[in-house]
Amino acid sequence: MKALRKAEIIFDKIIDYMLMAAAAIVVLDALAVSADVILRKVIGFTWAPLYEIITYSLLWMTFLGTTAIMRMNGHVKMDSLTSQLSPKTDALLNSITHCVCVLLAGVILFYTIKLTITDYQTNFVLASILNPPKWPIEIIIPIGFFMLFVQLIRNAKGFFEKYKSLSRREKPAVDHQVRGDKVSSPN
Amino acid sequence: MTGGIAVEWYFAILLMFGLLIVLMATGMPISFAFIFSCIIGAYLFWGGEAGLEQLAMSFYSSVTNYNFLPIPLFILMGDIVFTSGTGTRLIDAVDQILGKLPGRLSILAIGSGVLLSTMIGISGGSIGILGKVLVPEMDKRGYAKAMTLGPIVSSGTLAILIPPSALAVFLGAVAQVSIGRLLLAIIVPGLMVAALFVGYIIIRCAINPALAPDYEVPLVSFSQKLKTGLTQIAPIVLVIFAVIGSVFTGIATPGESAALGVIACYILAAIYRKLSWKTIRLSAQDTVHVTVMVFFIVVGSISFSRILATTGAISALTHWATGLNVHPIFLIIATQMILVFLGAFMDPASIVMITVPVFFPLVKALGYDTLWFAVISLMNIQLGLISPPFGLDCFTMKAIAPGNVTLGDVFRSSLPFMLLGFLSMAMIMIFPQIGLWLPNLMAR
Repeated sequence: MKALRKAEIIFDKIIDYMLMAAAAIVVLDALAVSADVILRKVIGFTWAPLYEIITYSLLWMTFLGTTAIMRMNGHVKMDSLTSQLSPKTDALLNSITHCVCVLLAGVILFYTIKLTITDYQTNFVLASILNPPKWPIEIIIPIGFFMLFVQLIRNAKGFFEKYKSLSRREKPAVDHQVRGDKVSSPN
Repeated sequence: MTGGIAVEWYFAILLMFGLLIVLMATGMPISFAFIFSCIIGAYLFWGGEAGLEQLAMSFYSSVTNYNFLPIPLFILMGDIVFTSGTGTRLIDAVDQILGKLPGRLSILAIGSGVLLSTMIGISGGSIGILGKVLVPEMDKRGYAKAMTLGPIVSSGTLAILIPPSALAVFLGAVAQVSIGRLLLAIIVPGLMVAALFVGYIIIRCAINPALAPDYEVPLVSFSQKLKTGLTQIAPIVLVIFAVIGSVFTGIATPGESAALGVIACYILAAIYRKLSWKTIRLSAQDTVHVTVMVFFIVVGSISFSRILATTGAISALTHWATGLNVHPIFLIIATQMILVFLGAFMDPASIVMITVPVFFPLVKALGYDTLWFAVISLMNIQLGLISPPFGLDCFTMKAIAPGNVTLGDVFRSSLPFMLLGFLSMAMIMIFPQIGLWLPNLMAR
């Protein structure tokens, strides 16, 4: 139990660092592109590979940041129907949908790992200015999905615990009501 | 794609959209609802396991698209303005300059909303700033809810219609409409909507002064107003030029203009002595939150449209719709009604990803200008943010409004502004040049 808690702390730290890296990418992208525009206009110099690197950075930013968003349940949902449910039912439904998401993340994790390994083994190179091997760029996808996979399990567990605690809270109230009914019964 | 099962086009559409909507309704994150539908679709229509491998490949190409660069950068601009407190300073400046007018504080909300929209790329950002600063003041002055909540909520939506607009970039990138031209095309409609809002406030407050009671405005001399304008508002020209001017003059692409806009916002915050490491860090982290939400929907949904396209469903649907014995404009109106409907339940990014793959090929086939269609669609989606029962901006307003304000109050207050928005949309449908003349001017 202690080891699990320690693992969770380490996992949370990794998510925090990934989020910080994603934030740094956004600022660096802005600075690099601005510098390129200014240099191009002032001294006529432009570094062509920059634009290629920027496109890769968008992929990295997305997959570095996505687990942090999932941790705070921040991914967009259409909650117009589920908001009408009782908190208990909502927690149960959330737990189920997150279990389904775990499965989906697992499937995608499997196929993206397979793809990255294939690209590494075949030394697949991207046809672009830099001609980089593809695997170091795409490796962030399985990493991101692995982190998501773990986080989704945590979320599903969290929602299930919420459901259980709400059920427990409801139960004594129901018992009390039943006892009260008996006392106040006119018969 | 080979190896997949061959089905009728309407079956493919029903299966893919049906599954997506059912999953969304369960409260599953929208990105995962897309991924689920894609897994089923790829397995069925792209040939079993080979289809799933293809799907994994498409995740890589989903967001490695340079056209998406302005999205995080436009959002970052807004976050810098919000985190640094630049926005509050701007409202104070406009307040000093504005003279005595019926519904003065409501007009201040719209005016400040327009100025904030030149720096904020997403809807909701300026509602936070305007709501916190103006609502207590309006409350103190005895303004009715209709003149407090409505103007603030509706001015927030201007962020979508005045560049920088992250949603315009997103729509342009997905629909393959020139992003630079689209950013220019929304300027006049955005300003027109703002002017209609101001006109409505003045007329309504002149008819019923009790809605916005008059109060003594401190007398500010012309020279003081000039000084405030030059020191507080003029620096915003730097941001406006960086974002709009650089595209219009051909100095920069939309991606580059967004980067210049970010630097301009940093400079502006530094001029106002509001720039710190904390501001830089917090604004960047907030940007990642919003951007990743949008980009992760893209990750799931790009394959969705590809699957639909490879089943032949999109072309068959377009063929079917163009063969209908009705005037094409009715089909355009039908698309807009679908957007109105979806706007009441869904967030803008999801609406774009669901409708663009179907609507834009249809619009092209009908012979309409896709730039014009993108402008009216954006206006429509913007109105969805303030429409009942689930307009996101109304929820934002409710969250920052005083406790005695109900969600019903917010929706009721925003209703006249929503109707004015629809009026503007109708005007642009009838007179496309309102949106098109500025990008055409650039082309010359």
